[in-house]
Amino acid sequence: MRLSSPWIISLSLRIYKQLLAIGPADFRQEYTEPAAQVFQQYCEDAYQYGGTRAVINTWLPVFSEAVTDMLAERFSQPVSSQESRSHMFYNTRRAMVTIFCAFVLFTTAYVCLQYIVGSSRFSHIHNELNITFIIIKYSTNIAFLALVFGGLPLLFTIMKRALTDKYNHPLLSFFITVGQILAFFPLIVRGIVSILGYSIVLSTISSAGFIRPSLEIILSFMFLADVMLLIIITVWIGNTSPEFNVPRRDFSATLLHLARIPMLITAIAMSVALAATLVWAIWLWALELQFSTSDTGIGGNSLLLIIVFAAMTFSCSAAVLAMRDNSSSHTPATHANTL
Amino acid sequence: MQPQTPDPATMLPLTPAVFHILLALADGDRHGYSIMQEILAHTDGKLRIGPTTLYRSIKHMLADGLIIEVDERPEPDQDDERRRYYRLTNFGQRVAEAELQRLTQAVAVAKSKPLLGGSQLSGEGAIQ
Repeated sequence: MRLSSPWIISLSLRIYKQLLAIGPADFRQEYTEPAAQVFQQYCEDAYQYGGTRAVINTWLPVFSEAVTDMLAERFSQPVSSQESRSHMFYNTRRAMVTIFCAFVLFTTAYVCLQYIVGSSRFSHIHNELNITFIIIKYSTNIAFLALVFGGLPLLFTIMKRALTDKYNHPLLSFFITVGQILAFFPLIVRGIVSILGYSIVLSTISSAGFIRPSLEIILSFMFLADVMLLIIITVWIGNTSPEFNVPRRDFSATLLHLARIPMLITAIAMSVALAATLVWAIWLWALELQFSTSDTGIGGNSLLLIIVFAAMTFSCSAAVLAMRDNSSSHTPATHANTL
Repeated sequence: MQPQTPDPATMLPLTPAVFHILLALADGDRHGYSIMQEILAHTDGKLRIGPTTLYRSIKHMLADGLIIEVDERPEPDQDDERRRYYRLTNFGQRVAEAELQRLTQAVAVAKSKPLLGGSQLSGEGAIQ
């Protein structure tokens, strides 16, 4: 019969298990208990040999090793003949995250485009322009719907897990955890403050009418960088939370196979929307040259328009590349000489 | 048709952790802590492998087919149910032998170097 452990061993075990949480979900699920058992035995031996001090002496080597090993495990991409299935799922999950991030960026660019041209009658006055703009609108809506419906089964899995597991409140399992809030709070505050600051400075200087064009460009890029930072942080937190809280095995093979269909639809719809945007821009220049170039038309927003096109192209390329990586085959490799 | 086993040479060189785990399992089935203790004993305490490195290595060794997990366990009063027992496979043994051969060859080369206490004859490549 095992006697209750001294407090120092219990504390050491608790810290050790927290450090193992840095590792990927599949490793944690499979090896947390046996590794903790070995560490406990190690601590018990140390305690018998030298008491509390001896246990504390094990912390530095064991904990530092745990952190480096777990980080290495997280960032390594293990592939072997026996793991090819899980690697395929790993790719599917990565593609899902990439497509989701790409879609967020694409939607932001689309909203900016709507803001620039949406209210102007010139951008819809010709049939060609009207049709292409409708294509952009519907393609983006289709991409959004595919993402929502494709995400529902995953959301359901997370909720199911949360309801049957340790979380009292299901929302906690896939929204931000306390640790993540503490880690990212300063960054989020900085992003919000910067965005507000740039907006106020830009609007004040623009209304006064004495801003230098170079300063405006620098401020615009800084503003865009902060918006991107906020988007990346939000998306990162949103995507890592389920990964931390729901083990990989909970996403069944069927579920991940099915997720490929909405992912493909999203990537195709984004590509169609991008093509339509480019055609729309070319027609706008050909049919309404004065409107396109003058400051009273959209000429004043030409820099923003270029950024919108760049963001759309980048996000679309990322989505298409993610789909290509997901469908490509992989060469097995061994681990014994790469640890 | 027999499944084709990979060439042990493709697994080389092994990391010290993997090689010593293979050596520890050469005597028979062991659980994680026993492997750690055995490594510590046969390296005179010079190689310390922590639980995380141990299980990370074991994970990859299982995937490469060097070892397998076994279900046979000692009596419940002498066992902790969280323990897992591992056994060396034939392929793992062949890989250990190949690594041993590689290290023996390296030791032979080192012994032939005068600077390392060897007795290399003056000749090819040596400055007269």
